[in-house]
Amino acid sequence: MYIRPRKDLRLDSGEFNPDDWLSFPGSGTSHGVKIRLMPEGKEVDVAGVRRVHTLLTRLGVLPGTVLVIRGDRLLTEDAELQADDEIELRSVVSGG
Amino acid sequence: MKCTRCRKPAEIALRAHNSSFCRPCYIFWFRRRVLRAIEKQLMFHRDDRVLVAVSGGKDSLALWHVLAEEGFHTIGFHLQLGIGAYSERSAATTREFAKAHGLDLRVRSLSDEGLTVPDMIGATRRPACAACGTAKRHHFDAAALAFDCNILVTGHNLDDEAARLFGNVLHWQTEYLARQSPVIEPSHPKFVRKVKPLYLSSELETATYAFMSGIDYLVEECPNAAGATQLTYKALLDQLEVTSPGSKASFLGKFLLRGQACFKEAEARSPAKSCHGCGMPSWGELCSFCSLRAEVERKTAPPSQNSDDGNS
Repeated sequence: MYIRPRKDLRLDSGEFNPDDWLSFPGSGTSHGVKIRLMPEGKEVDVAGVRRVHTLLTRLGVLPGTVLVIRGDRLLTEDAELQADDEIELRSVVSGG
Repeated sequence: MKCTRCRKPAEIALRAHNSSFCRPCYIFWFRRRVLRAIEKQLMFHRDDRVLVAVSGGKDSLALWHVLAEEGFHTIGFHLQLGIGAYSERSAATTREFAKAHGLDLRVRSLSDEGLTVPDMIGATRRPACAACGTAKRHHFDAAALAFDCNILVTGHNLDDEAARLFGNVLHWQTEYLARQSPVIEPSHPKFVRKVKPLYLSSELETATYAFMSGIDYLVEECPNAAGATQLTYKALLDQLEVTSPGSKASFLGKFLLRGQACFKEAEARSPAKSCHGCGMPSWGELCSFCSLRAEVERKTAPPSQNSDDGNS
C-alpha cells in the first residue's frame, strides 16, 4: 500500500519523515526492534522504526552520544533496521 | 552512507568533520589524528619514556593502544581507587588489556595505604570527584618519578576539556583558564610534562576506535559520577553539538589559540616547597593529597581516652 506524502511537507524541513508513513498501521512495514541500553543494561522493544535516526529520536537519545551496535558492527544514522534486530545503544559519555 | 576516503559502506559518521568512515579508514584516520595532536603540540618524541594513566575506560585504553601500536615506549599505570566492585572490575579490565597486548602495566592500590576514595568522601565534605582527582594527580606524579618516565599521558578527550573550559568560564576561574592546556610543562624538578593527546578527539571518536579495535573496555560508569557537574556541562554541550556540529572543537580550539593568552598573567607560579609528608612539590607544608590524608585521619581518629570532660 502506497501512501502519498503530503505536498506541504518538504524533505528538508524536518517535518517529513519516511518512517511516519511507511509504518502507517496496515502498511505491513512496521519493525519491532529489541534495544539494549548500556551501561544501564535496560532492555526495551521499539516498534515502527525503519532507521537508526528515527530510533534515536523516538528514545530521546542525542546522536553522537551513543554507539549504535548491531552484532559486531556499528550503524550510521541512515542505516535501515531489520525486523527483530537486536541493537545495543552504548553511551559514550563518561566522567565526573 | 559511504566512506569519505574509499567509498565503501561507512560504519561511523562524524558530523563535526563532515565525514564518514568504514572501519579500516576510521582506524587510520583516528591514529593519524592522535599523532598529529602529539606532533602539533610537541608533546613528546619516540625516545621518551611515557607513563600512560589507564583507568580501564575507553579513552585511556584507546590511547594506550594507539601509542603502543605506533611504537612509543609506554608503561601503563593503574590506580585502584577502592570504590568497591567497580574498582575491582576496572583493574581486571586493565590487566586483561595489558596481558592481551603484551604491555607493561604497574598497579597501585589506595587501599594498601589505608586511604581509599570512599574513606576520603566519608570523612571530609569534599565532592567525590574532587577527592578522587587529588589522589590521582598525586599518585600519577609520584609514579612517573618512580618509574623513571619523563612524560605523563592522560586520556582526557575533547568533551572532557570542553566541559572543563565551560565550567572554568562559567565561574571565571582565571588561574585554571591560564593553566588549561593539552601540554602542561613541569613547574618543579619532581614533576614531569603532562600531556593529553586526545584533546581533539571526541568521546564518540575514542569509543568508536575502541570498539573497532576490539578493545574490551569497561562500559560501566563510576558510581560516584552520578550527578557530577561535569556531566551537566557535557549534556549542554552535546545539545549544542547537535544543532551546530563542531562547536566543542571550536570552543576549545579557539580558546587555546586566541583566548588563553589573556589569562596567562595570572599564572607563572610554581610550588616552592617540598611536602613534609611525601616529599613531593607543594605550595605549603603539606601537598594537597597529604592535606587530604591528614584531614581524613583527624576526622576519623577515635576520641581521646584520657579526657575527663568533667565527669569525675
